[in-house]
Amino acid sequence: MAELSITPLPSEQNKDVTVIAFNGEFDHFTFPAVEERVETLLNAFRGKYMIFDFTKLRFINSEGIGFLVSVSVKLKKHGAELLLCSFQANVADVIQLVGLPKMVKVFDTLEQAVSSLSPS
Amino acid sequence: MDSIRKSLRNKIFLPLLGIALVLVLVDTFGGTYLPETFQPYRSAGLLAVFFALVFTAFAINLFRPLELVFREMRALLTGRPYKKIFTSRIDEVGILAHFFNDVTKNIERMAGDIAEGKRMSQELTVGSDIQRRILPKAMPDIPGLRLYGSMRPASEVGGDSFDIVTTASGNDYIYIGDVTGHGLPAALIMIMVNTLVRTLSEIHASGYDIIVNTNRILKSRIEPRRFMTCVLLRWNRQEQKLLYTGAGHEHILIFHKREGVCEVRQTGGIALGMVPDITKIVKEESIPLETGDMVVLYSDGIIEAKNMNGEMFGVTRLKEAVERYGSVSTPEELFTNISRDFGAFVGNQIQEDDITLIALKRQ
Repeated sequence: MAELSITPLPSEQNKDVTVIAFNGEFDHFTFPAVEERVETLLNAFRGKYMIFDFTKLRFINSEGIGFLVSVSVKLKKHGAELLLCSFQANVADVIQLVGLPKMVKVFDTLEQAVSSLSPS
Repeated sequence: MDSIRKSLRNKIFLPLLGIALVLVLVDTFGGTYLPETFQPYRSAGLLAVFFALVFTAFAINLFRPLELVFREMRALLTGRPYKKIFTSRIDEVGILAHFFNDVTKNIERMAGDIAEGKRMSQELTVGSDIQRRILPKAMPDIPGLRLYGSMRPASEVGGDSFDIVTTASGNDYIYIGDVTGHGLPAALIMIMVNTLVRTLSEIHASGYDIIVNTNRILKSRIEPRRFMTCVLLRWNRQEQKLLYTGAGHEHILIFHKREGVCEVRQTGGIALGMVPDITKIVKEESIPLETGDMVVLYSDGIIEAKNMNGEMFGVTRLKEAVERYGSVSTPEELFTNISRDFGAFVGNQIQEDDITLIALKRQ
């Protein structure tokens, strides 16, 4: 049974940035639990940038993409921004195909994502 | 104490035994105090008192509690409203009451499940009706093009749709789309897009304008997490030219008959419903076609379908099938051949997603 765990890592260097690492598969079954967990994190979030690190994300379906869109929209409403980084090949394919990079900033590595941010 | 509480027999028998003893004692030691006139009736009187007490014991412990239980049982059996039986008894009547409560709880849960199942299958029926209604009833005649398309829905209503729109303005449009999610909400978005494309095709003269405006209008009406991937082909009858506008959909396959090679082209753009303004993100591009060339549109249900080893069918296999049959088949034959190869690959595995394939051939 596929699982998905997420781990928030507040950045020591930059208080405005929180990195959330995804581990596992984002599919129809893992979706509800992940959604709930991310919602909780979003509600408590007071920073400016939230980075989703997908290094260990093995799969994402269209529901997952839709969820990323809604997270991005929610953060924008509060003057914050969502960034995505570090994709496995199949996840990169899905994200590219649907055109998500035209709406949310994507980076190959976490370092690139962090260094793209304006200094706080 | 518990052994008395647990058994009706003890509850009734023991007190009655006690009462009988008391009566015998009362009679033995107090009988002489009874006035002379009542003495002949002494035995009858004792017996009457004893029976009255027996009856009361039975009534309290047996008749009345049973009546309460059977009243609810009768209600259940005759289809009238019934109530849960509240009792702290642990004797046989208590067991009966708890049994009744358990059984009715299970019945309620099962009835709920059945009702939920009915509601869901109704929703699915409406959803699949909508989906079927959108699909073209027949392949229209388009001078210069021959086409064939079909959609096989998965067990649960998915999000695939396609349509062929002929207009009076000299453009024919063919689109294939895939909405996120399943069931009724997906079907409603499908119908919105279908209506928008059809209506806008009567006003605009390019796929770009149709896609940009469909997206703008759709975005304002759907929730952020829903979107629809789509690719819209435009066939210009006068110039006999084919163009496409991509909106985040799967690649399209272009079979070049002369070389016998199938090109896999990414159509670009961004899915409908993600951002309100896609004027700078999508564009309409042309596909140069020679006679005999083919274009194949498909949904991800085909390439993500797995066989029993867990392997996906994949774009490569689809591309190879198109190359194998492209030169010698009509669109309908190509469709049949690819379906056969696909069927052989996936075997009996149940497909979880809709499967759509549209093939067109330049005549």
